[in-house]
Amino acid sequence: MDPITGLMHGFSIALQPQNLMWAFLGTFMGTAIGVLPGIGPALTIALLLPVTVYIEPTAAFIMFAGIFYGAMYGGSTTSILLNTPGESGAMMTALEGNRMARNGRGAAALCTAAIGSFVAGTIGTLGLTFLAPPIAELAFIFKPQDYFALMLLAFLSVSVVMGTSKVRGFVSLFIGLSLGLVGIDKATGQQRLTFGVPDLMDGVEMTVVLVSLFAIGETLYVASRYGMQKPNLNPLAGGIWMTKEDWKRSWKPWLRGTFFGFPIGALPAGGAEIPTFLSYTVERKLTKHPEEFGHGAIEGVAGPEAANNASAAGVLVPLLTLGLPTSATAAIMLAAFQNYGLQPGPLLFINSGDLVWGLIASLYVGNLMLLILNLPLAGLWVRLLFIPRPYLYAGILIFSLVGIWGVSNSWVDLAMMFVVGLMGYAMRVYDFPIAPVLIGLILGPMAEVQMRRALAIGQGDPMVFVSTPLSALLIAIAFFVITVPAVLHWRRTRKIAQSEDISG
Amino acid sequence: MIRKILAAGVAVAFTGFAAFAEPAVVMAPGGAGGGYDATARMPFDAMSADGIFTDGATFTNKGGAGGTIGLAEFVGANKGNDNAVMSMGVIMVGGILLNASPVTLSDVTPLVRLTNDTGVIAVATDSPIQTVDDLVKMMKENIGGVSIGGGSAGGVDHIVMALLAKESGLDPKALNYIPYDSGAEVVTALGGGAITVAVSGVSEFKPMADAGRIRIIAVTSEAKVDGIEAPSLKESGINVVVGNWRGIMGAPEMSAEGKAMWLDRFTKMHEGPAWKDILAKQGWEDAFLAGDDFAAFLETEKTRIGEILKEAGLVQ
Amino acid sequence: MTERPYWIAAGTVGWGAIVLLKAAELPQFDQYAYIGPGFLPSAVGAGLVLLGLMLAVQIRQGVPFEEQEAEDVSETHAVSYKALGFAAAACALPMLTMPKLGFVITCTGCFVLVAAAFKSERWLLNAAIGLAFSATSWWLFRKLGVQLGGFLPLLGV
Repeated sequence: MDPITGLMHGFSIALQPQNLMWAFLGTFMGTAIGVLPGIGPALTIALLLPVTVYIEPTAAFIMFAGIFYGAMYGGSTTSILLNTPGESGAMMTALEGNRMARNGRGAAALCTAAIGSFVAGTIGTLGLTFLAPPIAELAFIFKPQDYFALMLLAFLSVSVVMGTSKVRGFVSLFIGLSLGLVGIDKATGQQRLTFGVPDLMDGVEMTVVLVSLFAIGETLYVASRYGMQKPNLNPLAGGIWMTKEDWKRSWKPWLRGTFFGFPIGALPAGGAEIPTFLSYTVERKLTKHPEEFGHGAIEGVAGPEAANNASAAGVLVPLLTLGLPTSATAAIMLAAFQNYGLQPGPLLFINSGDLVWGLIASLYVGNLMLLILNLPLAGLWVRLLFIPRPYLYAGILIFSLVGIWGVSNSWVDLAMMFVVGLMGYAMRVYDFPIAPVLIGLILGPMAEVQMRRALAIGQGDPMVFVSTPLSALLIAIAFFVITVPAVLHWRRTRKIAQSEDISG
Repeated sequence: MIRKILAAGVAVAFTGFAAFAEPAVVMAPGGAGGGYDATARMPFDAMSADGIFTDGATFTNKGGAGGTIGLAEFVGANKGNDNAVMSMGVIMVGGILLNASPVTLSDVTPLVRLTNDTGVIAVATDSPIQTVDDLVKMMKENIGGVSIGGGSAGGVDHIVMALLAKESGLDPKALNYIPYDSGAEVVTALGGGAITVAVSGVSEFKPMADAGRIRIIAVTSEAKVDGIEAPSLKESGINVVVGNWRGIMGAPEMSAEGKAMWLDRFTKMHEGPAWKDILAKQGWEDAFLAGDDFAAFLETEKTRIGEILKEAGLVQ
Repeated sequence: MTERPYWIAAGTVGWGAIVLLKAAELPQFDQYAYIGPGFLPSAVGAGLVLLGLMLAVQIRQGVPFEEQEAEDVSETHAVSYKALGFAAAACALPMLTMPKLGFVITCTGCFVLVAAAFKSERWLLNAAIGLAFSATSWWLFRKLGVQLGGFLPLLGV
């Protein structure tokens, strides 16, 4: 079946009333659960795996696809409104999104996130429909040195979230890196910085740090400085819709975010974080309104959110075409396939065409449904901010506890929540940027693994890092991004110095 | 239609709540959707479908450190509880040694071995390596030049290669073994030519081999397996047989009656149609071994794995 | 008067030193990759020590530390250490009570403490709302299959 016929056939399945309803149920549940801190799509689908016994495969996968996209989108809501991202892919959205919400433009931020998710999800699904086989090949092309170079590039995002002081920015980054070192060293099986605590052997749980730094730190900080007067700002001051200017400033970031998210999502060691970091960095470098970044620039919401959702579509590429799960969520979807006795891979399209094309078509439907569901809700979500502060923050703490305690049942994670939460408080008081901690924690271990892999394969030859065209290109880009602004700055200051000499 | 949804809703509602007669307490020492999770849940699905044990079960997932964290919690909470069982496997045998776990498998009661995933050794399709002999020859020339991909350091894939090296007169410590997080990563690295050779389970590699992405040169079972042309290591003259087996353990200090009750249930389950259906769907190899036979097998595995991990320099 | 938070610099150097000491126990080199398990910990530990010292120098020079903006933060209002204490107690409570008293009681306690931190001191009403909210969350997430433990582990349910 060629893609067009297949897709038409798929739509005839996906548009059946009961399948539409499963798609609705999935997107709704996904959004609702994705809103909660610490509970992501992987866990949600895992929890719902038992229903595969009761419903037929097509319906189940249509629902799972809805959950998948819904949860990716849902994460942005609390990031924007409450500065409490619940999963790593939503962190970059929080940076500008929450500033926008504080300026009364929360609804516009939610809209650009919703439409960006729709655009990215739809383009990603188009890519899945027509370009899946070549995109899947990327997985074979990427070697450890290419991954390492890509991660170096993503590390540059630290430079734009540094805040006012370089020293404090680097302290944040290095604290993140040091937390990332905790656990069993993957290459040798040696324990590092575990202090003999079994719960730390698999490393510091990223969601615990994320939720503690943002949600817990924010709660402590706001509580200590809460003035009890009515919120001085109407959350709806900026209207409940995007302005013409917002549209103009959003569409390019949506497309660029998609461009990062989709292919990187399709890589076995890609994920949602790297494209969001890259997208934010690029938007910040390209924007015509650099002064707004850090104070609520809409590009900084539109880009990362699109990248986040496009990576979700990317994950499905190797899963469906090669049977390779490249993320935790995909691995659980694979388990669901196996519950039905299906083996994803090249044969899936032939043996279970109905299912695959029905699933792909329902991704389009689910995406549209998310948009329809969330645009009107944007105005409603913003009203969350009308909840009396004592109850709003108490609720945030309880949901954080569901995410932290419910996932691991580990006392160590509760202790970590307290300590890291206090750290988040101190960082706010003394103006240490928070994002570099997470960037270090997420990228540090990934980059280390790929670096040591590349070196081990090359038996220690450092030239291995530029041994493929892709790695050489990416490292060259990273090099220029670092050096060119520095050189420009140096020349500019020299010129000023010279002109001052002349005039003086 | 509506009834279906209700059924699904009720199913969801009851997964955490199956508080009827006397539900079994089941520990899966790995995350939801993983191997230990399926090994814990599937037998109860089968027992319930065939009417062998219908009181339901409450499952706890507790992953981490090769399953040893779940093991420690299971042992701490269920001393003498005839109703408590947990899933485990060969990876836990190694994990206990690698992590120097204070709680070991001697603290629990061996019940049954259920499944096995045979290991396979594969190369890229265009690799000059055709047989295991070629591989060994290449390793003898320059052992560091042969990069080997597989699962975690000291895991069952690493053990396969360490035993292979030892049998061929090479130093297991000198292997250039590169651990990967997932089968997807290993298979793409191998297919794309980033690594020379890779080890994983049949279930991970066979689809990619069938698709012509990689070529299997040996399997780690006693003899050839169905659907794969490559010979076993033993048939290639290397006396190494390793399987990624999984099974069920009973609570610490389980009574003789409790043990007999569970052995009876699992034996009946193994003979019933529901379990056969599950084996086929999951693509699992039947490796049923019950009671004392399993306990004896476990002892030999412990000794063998302990020795090879020491020789590979992974355990002091 | 400029605040001089030397303790942050000391903390950074201290944590860096711990990382360095722990890293020293690990092999720094590896037979093929050359970079062993201890290499990066050493580098990160050294970096932290260095950054901590630079921070100390900056603090000595009197670099200003401006508080970050956040929603609901009033700039004119003095810092309330009492409120901070309540909120911190709410975050510490789960460590003490979660395993023994269970999710519902713990979360009710957290709810009351956070509400108190935000100057809502209608204890009984807050406890009732907190209990209802915690119990509903517990019930709902249990249904979804999230492992939150028993309702009241002390009573064995």
